[in-house]
Amino acid sequence: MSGAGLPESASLTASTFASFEEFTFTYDTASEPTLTGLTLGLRADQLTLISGPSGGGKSTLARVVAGFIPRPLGGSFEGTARVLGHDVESAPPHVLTESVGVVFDNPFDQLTAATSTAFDEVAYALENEGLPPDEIVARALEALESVGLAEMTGRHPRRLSGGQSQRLAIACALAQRKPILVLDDPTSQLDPTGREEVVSLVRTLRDAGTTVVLVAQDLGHWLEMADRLVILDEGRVTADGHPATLLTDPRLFDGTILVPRCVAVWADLRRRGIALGDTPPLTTDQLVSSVRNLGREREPTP
Amino acid sequence: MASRARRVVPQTDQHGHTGVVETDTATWSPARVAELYEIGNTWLHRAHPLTKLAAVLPLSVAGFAGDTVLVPAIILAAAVLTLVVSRLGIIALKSLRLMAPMTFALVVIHGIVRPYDSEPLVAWGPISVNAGGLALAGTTAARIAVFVIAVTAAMATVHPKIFATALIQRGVSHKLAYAYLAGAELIPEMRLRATQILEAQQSRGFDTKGSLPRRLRTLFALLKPLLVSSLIGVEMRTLALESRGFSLPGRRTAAVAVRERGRLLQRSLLLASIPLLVLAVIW
Amino acid sequence: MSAIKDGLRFKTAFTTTAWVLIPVAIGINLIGRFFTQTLNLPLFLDTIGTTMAAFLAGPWVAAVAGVLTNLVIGLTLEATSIPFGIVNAAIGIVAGVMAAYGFLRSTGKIIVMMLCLTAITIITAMPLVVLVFEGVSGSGVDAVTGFFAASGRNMVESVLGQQLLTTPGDKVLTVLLAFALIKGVPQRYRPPFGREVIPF
Repeated sequence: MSGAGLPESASLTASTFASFEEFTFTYDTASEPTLTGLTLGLRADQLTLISGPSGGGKSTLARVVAGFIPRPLGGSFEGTARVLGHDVESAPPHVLTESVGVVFDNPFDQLTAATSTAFDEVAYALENEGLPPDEIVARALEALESVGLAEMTGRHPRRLSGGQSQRLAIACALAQRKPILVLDDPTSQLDPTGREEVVSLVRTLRDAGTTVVLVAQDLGHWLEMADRLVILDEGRVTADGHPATLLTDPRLFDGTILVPRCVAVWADLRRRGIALGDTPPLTTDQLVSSVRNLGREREPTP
Repeated sequence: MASRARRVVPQTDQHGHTGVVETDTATWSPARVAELYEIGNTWLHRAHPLTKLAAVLPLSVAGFAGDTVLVPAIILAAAVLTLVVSRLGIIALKSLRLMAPMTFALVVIHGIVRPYDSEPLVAWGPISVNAGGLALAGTTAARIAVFVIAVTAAMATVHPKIFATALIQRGVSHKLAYAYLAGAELIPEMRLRATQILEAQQSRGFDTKGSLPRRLRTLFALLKPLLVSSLIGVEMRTLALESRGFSLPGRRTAAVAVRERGRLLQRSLLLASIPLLVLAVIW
Repeated sequence: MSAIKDGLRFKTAFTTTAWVLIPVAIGINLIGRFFTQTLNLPLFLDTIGTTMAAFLAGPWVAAVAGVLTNLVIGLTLEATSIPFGIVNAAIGIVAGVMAAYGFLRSTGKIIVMMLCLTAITIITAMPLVVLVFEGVSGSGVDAVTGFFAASGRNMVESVLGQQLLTTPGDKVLTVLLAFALIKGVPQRYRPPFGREVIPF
């Protein structure tokens, strides 16, 4: 965990842990850049939700933050990207992967595939860090418990459900005590139960003050817990702000992002002249309560 | 073995170190961990994994002593007896079952099929059994069986993860150990997939009577998506491993460490193979 | 062409991707083996994964995949496969080196590669089969060996005859299947060595 200090660059505020300046990145196998002149700062102690159409550069951005770009994923870039005070080009090896935990969309491909229990899966990273056995056991059990898998320590990782498997991946990052968590569309391949499990775990982590960068195509479950929403399209930031203020912009309803139903209903009613408040509801509950309020306002007083 | 309840507790393992050990697997049979592994706590389970592995070499070399079945048969009998007495008869059974197809082929080719000038031992219509050929088949089968039973006994009494830990503690690359463990995990997985695909194919009556190339083509068409997706998954697993310190420099530890002992015994066993080899060559 | 050089050098060949690819190669070898065993085919097809690893990551990675395949089978399933790790590794090395020198670029060269793989298989497997196993392997091909032995040939001739009959078909299929698998994987997901030796 050495070297992961706060950024020294004067252009960054103390709470910005990642910053991109005119950052353009092209994968070795691609002819067009995936990120184009990106300028963006990500703040610590927040849940930043990154969305946008497929191929817009969301996952690539997540991979830069996670320390996978430019190595081991090959590619060429211009501009600068700094994460935790390190330029991603010149950062010492492992410094970023040691500080940033990652959870991918596929629940099984991100497992080591070399362990026969959930416990071993979590312990694997701690063994690589060379921790003493007692600490490995304590940390692994604690992490499994904190993601609600205390009963599953001896279960074979392949036999976990999708939701359990994603929680196991989160447990691996928690056991490593990584200060930053990058979640790359963690619920896109899950059934509704698994999705709910992961969403509520992320909510808990966010409430505990964990820095989370969450990439999601479908904003549905994440809006109400997001401190900030960034929309990436064709490798550029096209919108950036608090979800409630951002989603008042009608341009976002052109199919660029999957707008949750509650926001869509709010926008539709607004177009038809029925105002349900200045900012859109971020959950169905919020929508229902503003509809109720509207009903009460319109009820003729006897 | 398959019906006891799963219980996983932090406990002290047979090597005196604390860790979480899966004591049993009810719905996930031990076959899922490795086809051979037999859960237990016999003296053989408690022995250092590398001592057991080191014993394979002198035993196998000794099996080649003499040019008759005598020496390998004695070693084989002693091994089977030891295993049975240690309540590990299942390992002897597995080893001998493993030897069955090879023994059958040896007996048929050397004892029956090959023409000999000498008088047959038994002649029954066109089939005649030759004594010399049968002896050669028996000796070869016994020699191979000694090796098989030694390896099986060594590996069936150690959890693959403990085996890998023992190797890493002796300086074997943890990356190589990773590849070994991941490969071992795949055996039951791949066997299951192969069986499922074959059963599905047979139940639908696909091409079971078709020509060989046609059957192979159908099989490949069924397998390709699975194999291609496992190749595509390589990138994500690479990143996941990087995130879990796969490339970190420095020493590895283990949640369940293996107590270091038996180095002298292991070296002695390996060295004992040299005089045994000389003996096997000159006898 | 630096990725080809990296794949050919032992020191640079073993990237994390290579280590992740090795178990996949082992799994593909196992699948081929299980199918030919279950269907009792006079083939092995247990080196498709090794060959694929050779095309994607070079000779050394493939050699490790080959040795580990037989070690994994040997130590967790059946001990008799351990010595044949040498054959599996030799196939990986030959396939990887030939791929690096452009033998996947034309049909003619691919046929030459198939011939070389057949030759290396026979050269490495023969001594083991004849000296250690007295001509048998415990699989379907023993029937072919038995056929030659019955006609009065000695064991070396019988095993050679069997190998010459069964190996070419096995290697032709192996190379074709490994090639077809890689073609199914988009360029972006292939390791750099694989991208350069099969640039389409």
